[in-house]
Amino acid sequence: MRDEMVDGRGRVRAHWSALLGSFHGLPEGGLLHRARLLDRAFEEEGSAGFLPSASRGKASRRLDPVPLIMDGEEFDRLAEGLAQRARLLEAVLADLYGPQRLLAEGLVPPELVFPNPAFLRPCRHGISGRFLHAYAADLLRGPDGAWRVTGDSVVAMDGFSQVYANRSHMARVLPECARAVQMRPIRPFLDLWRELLQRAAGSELSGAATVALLTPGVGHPDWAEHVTLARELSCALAEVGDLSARGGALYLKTLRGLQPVRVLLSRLPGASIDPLELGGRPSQGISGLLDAMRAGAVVLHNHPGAALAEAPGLPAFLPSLSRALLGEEPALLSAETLWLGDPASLDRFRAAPDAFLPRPVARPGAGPETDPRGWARIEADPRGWARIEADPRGWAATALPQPSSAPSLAGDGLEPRPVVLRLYLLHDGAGWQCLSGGLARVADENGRPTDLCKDVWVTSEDRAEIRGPGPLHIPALSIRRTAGDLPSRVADNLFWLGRYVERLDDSARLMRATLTRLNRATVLPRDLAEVASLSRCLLDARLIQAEDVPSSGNDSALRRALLAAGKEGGRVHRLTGEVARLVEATRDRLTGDMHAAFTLPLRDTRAALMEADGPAALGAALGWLVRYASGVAGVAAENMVRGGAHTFLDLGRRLERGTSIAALLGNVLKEPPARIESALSLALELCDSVITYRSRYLNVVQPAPALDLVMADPANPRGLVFQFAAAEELLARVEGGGDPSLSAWARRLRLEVEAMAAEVAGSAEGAAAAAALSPRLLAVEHAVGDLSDAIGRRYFTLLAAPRLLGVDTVERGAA
Amino acid sequence: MIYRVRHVTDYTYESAVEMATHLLHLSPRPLARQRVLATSLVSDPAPTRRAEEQDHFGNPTAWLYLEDPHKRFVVTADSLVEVTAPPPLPQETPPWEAIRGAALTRPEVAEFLFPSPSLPPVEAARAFFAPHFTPGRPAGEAVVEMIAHFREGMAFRAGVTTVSTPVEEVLRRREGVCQDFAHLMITGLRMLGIPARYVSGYIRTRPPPGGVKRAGSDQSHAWVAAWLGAEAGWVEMDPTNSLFVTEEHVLLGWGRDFGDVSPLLGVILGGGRHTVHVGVDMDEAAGHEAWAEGSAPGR
Repeated sequence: MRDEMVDGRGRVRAHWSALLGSFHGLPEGGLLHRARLLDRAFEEEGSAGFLPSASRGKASRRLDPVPLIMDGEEFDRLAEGLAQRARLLEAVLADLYGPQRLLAEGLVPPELVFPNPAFLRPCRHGISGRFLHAYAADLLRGPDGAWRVTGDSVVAMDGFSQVYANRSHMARVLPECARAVQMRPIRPFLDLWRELLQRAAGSELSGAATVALLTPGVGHPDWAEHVTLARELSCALAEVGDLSARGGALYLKTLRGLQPVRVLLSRLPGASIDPLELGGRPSQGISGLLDAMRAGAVVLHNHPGAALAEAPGLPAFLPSLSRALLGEEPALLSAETLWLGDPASLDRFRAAPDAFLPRPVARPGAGPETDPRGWARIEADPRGWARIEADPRGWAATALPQPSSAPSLAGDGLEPRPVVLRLYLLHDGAGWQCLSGGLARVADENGRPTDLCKDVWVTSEDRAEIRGPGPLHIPALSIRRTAGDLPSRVADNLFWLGRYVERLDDSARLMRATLTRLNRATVLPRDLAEVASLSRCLLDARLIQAEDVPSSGNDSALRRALLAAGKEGGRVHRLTGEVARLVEATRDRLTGDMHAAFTLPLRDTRAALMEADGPAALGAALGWLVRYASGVAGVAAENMVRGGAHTFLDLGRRLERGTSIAALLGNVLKEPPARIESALSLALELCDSVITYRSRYLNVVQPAPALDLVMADPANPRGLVFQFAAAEELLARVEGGGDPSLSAWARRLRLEVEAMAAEVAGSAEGAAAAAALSPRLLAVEHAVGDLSDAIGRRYFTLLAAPRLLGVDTVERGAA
Repeated sequence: MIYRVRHVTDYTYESAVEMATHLLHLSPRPLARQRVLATSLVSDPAPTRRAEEQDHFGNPTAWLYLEDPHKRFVVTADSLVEVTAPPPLPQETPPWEAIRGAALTRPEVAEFLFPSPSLPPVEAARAFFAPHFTPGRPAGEAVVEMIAHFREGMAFRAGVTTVSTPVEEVLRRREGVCQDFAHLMITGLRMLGIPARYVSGYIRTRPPPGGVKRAGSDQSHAWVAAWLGAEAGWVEMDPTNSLFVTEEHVLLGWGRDFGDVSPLLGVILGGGRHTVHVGVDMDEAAGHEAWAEGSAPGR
């Protein structure tokens, strides 16, 4: 096996010496310590890992503190080879979607194209422009010392953001080494990409959404990558439902209406991108997208038909295609690939089946498949052989050379481990540029990539590394202080994030107040009455069931219900999951610190709730939940620019708190006038207003002052009027001078609450007047729900879900 | 023979459709045996945007984009077509086993050798037709026998299948409509190594003896084309009627299966439940005069 660092005579290759030197300079046990720091950094980054969707993702990746060092000159030769390969793939695609000369001349067998689901027939005509704008390739260096391409990726091209994350972690955790090795920067590649996109989007800088990244959504394993990439490239992150094709153009649905999209970076399989023309579920694509492409209104990076280039059998034909289409010998070879439709190749495969991975020739490849288990499956399945023998033309077999090794941290020393490499390229309008870095992955003994990756450092000879277009001239931007281009879905998610975090807070406070009373050593009649009131509130908030309400002093069901709320299937548990999902979905609007503040404490609290085995543990976990909600509010208030994203987060919180205060007041005031004092004390406690009340009125609790504080005092952030006044202001900001009906609605609610408090203050029978408010407060609770629905209808649900028409028209025929 | 074909598709929606995109294969395809004298495609409401282009298979295709709310959508395709019978099968055709190899060197033919989205390989379909394909038999002879015997024990019955009924089920039930028969025959032929494609169009019908033909009573039809070597080329046959295609078949287009040439597809937003009414009239016409008068015969 070849080693990247040590040559055949046991000498360290020159380009590794600087790194090794820097390792020697580290303090005792230094590398191991740095590795732990890296692990911790990655753990924090993947902090949403408790979500079922995210755990399927790549959050578990680890970074080896030993980078893969590549010699600059050798890297340049690789980059040139890949550039040639990308040119060739472009030419192949242009032919297969055009005149199909390659098929007519027999240079490519029809099996590679026609049965391939990645061959999109509607793209044959009318769409001009390039197929490939970006390209990623997987490589390994075989025992002969030559690098070979083992996979071509033109759709997912995943791992790109990881390269940048790796580099920044390495620079932070191992600054001595990063300084010691003179390496090429990776930043210019990203700058070039952003600039190219802006150029392609044209001069329309009035809206930021002229470039969008289309992601399958928060449940996709590459979601975090899409979030990062959209942010780095300054483009809108969009899901299928956020985009709409009409009039031969593509639009992003935002709060201010439809905004044209000129360039779409698609991370969706091309075959489902336009359900009208390509089939597939209507809700999983954008009907009319191909029409917009034909009209030239939008350019897709990459072209939806490009996945044809990932066909596992294509590498078998690339050398002859290179000669035919480019008139060039391939500078960089693929891992040996046999098309089994060729009798000589089939014989070769039969002679040494273990050396190859057989795959259907036309299944769109999912990137690198260096997994020899693919073969094990065939071997174990006698039909596997039969399938190949029955239709050898439909199969290709790829040789799997043993990859070269590179040093990795093992224990506190280094040990050689096999590595595979992924490199990234970008077309700048004139030619292909290669990122001067990449993602190396450590493979196991079978050559299968593990979750351990390495940063790739390309040594530099200190010259200008990136050739590209000159700086883009951007005209002076007009000052904008609003974010009307917030996608509707993002606003929707933020609104519900605000509501659910607040609902967690309300739930925790209610549960905590109940728990305190249940745990008193001596239970007074007053406590029993309060527990009854609280049970009404808990029931109203659907935290317990009707049968859990204590009857004739037996509260064991209530105790059990409170514990169960935080367990699997319980309401609080579900709420924490929902909050985590919404945090993930709005990740592109949160900084790294905010994301950590929104997720890390929640993960711990959720675990504590799951483990809580008694009132003490539950009480502590509920306390964390209350502090989590305050933390989120504080982080949001101090870090998010007012307007846009923050507006909807805050609006959600205000409405949720409004509805919950109205509900709890309505429930606790449902008492005979004689018990009103105890009810008011409870209201003050639940509204976190006890201290304020005491400072104003000492220990005398009376209806008028108590209700003034929790209802009408405009300065009390836990009072009702405060919520509605804030909601009115936020809605007015969103309405921006347009139809003011929603802010007027919030104002009516505020006036109604003020009037209620005034009635109690003006009444001679304060206790009776307070008790009479109960039904009116519950009506306010429902009115807030209606307002929330109206906000959703106006701003979030711009369009109904699409449906397919026509497949149910059964044809009949003349007999 | 000159025909006037009027195909009206009428969708009524429960609530307004906010936006709709439609893909249509409703205009006859010009062929050596079929001259399209005139054709028009009109929708009500009129589309906000319309595009026409040939699809990958060379079929005339139209896209209609409706961006204003509507509760009804009516498309009328009206064409005047002159049809002649296809040439007879040549006297000699290659042995059927040789067809696949010859097809593989012609990409435009090879495409129809492979399974397609609605038509995966079905061994039972191959076995169903295999008895006609005895070793070394000329392809033309095998196909003549196959088409002559196809309807034995295969009942035409409307309403028991849908466009998505798999070929296995058609074989099991031994009944179906033209589309099912076409899908079954295509699957079997492809598995035998003979390129086969799905053809969409219309066939002339005759009123029952003594009866009067009702307006709109004609229907869409589907049949099969099989490639039988360089000389014979694509041979069209109608399994439903157990015959080779005549001058009474008007052709709209072809593809790998129904999905490629569905007459009308749409993606709509809103609309609730919908009802659809399809009416087809195919009548003999004198020529351009009938077109100029603007009145569809039979209406």
